[in-house]
Amino acid sequence: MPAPSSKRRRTSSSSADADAADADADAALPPAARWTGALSSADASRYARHVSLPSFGALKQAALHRARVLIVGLGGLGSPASMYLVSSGLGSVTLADADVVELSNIHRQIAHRESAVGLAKVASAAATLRAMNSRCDVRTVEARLAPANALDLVRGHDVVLDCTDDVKTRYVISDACASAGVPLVAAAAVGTEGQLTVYCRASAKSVGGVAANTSEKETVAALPLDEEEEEVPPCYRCVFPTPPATRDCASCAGSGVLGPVPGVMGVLQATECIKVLTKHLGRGGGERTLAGRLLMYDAFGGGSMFTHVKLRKRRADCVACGADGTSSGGAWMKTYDYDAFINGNNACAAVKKEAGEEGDGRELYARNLERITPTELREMLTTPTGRGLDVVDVRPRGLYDAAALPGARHVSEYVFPNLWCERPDVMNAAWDRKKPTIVFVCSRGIASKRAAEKYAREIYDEYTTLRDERRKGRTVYGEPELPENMVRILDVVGGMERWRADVDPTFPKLV
Amino acid sequence: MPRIKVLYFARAREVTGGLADETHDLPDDECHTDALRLALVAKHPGLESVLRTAVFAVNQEYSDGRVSLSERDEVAVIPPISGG
Repeated sequence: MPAPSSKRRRTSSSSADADAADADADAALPPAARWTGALSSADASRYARHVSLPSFGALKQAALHRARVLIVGLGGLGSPASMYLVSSGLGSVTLADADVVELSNIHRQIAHRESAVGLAKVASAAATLRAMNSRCDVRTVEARLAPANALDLVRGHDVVLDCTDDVKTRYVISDACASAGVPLVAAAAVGTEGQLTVYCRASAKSVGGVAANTSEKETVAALPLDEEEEEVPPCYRCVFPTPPATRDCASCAGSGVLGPVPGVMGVLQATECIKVLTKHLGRGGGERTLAGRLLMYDAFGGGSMFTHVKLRKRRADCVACGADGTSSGGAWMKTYDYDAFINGNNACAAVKKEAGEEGDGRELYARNLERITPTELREMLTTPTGRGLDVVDVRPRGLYDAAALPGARHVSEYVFPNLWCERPDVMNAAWDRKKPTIVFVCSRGIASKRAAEKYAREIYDEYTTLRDERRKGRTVYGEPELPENMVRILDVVGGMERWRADVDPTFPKLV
Repeated sequence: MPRIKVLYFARAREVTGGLADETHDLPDDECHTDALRLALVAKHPGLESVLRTAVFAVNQEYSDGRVSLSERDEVAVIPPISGG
């Protein structure tokens, strides 16, 4: 169908001609007859669909052209968020990220091309964004946001987007935004779920940054600077004063993520950012942003894919956004011990665990536990002993389905009732006193160690129950055999990652 | 025995073995968020550390401290997600 495309070409070239003719006529016209407006001729045409949108219009478009946004993290969220903001006509964007593009990133991090694997994410994203919109001033900072540099980076921007995948960085960004008085549009995504809200708010000073360039006097007057007029939203720390324990921090690398899910969240994040940037130009306080509310998205949530909850108010005594935090201008951040704060919940969990393990016969139940290397496992797999070898894979099911050891079976790390019932050969070998071997394997050797210990403890508990029943004369069975004489329980140090490094380089890299 | 509906999100859903929601019956004289937290941890030990961090929203609103609950109240356990 060549006709439509040639027609389009003709139309576009004739409209370019018309623009040029307009410019000539414009220059020739006396000032009293020249058109005036908030946008240049080229911008008014390029953003015509924003201009004609009744709830948006040329003034908001002009505000976008003046706006400066900091995007921290150019991954699954930062890619679509930056692409929509820049294509929408954002004036200036600073991209901050210390990572390089990896092959496993690009199923969702759509700002990066295959050819960018190995390049810095900020360089790759900047190239994509500049190609989309040459008028946007794209700046890059190839560094991780840290307490030492966060305040300087955040200052000078009208809005910050948190697109990171790290808990500590999330607190650092929020603290810096609370201290510098810059609104923070924070999104997160993992698995099939996402979260989005707007933390903090613009201080009079930082709003002035946008307002200073505004020619419209009434615009400045309409800025919601009076705290009584508008509720001050909380910061990340107000809502989550206790950081999650490390084991509760799901990451895209560890738990997986459905490609479009961060896409959905990043696009919503860009939309919220535009609302925050242009809010002062709206009637009656502007469009309502997500400040004070947390939006939650679950792609597999059935009937309720989107829900939201009302968040708490700002904490008056918050270390970051309370009076003390903001009055110091964030100076406290440079001496604050972020690592101790982040590890606080872990320490709590560890103490509890130790206390719980006291006196429950750790040495006894752990006697038949051993750790082996992938090379040793290879020997076991290739040297049949006839005693029964049961390889139990506790990685997430998807990883097992993608690639697993021959004969290995999949069992959830969290639930593995009656392991032996599914393997009569192993059970019989145990009854025949052949001492079969159960090998737990996972991705990196952490979950497998946990699972092996859990299993060893379970069968030891079973043994003590039987033994106590016997001693109380409540059973006709003989003295139960010690678990250590019945079965060897092994787990593989370094897991399948080390298997790939030491034994089989063709095993796919999955984490 | 007021019946409370509990919704699990993100990590909370993981440690409950993939449960999106369930119901809990609380005794009439102990029908508040503290009692519910204890009941949840007793049933799902993995929730212990999660609950220290998560937003505990009662009828779609953030709750802090002990809040009394009544029949058909809906409580959402919302841990922060940090992936991106």
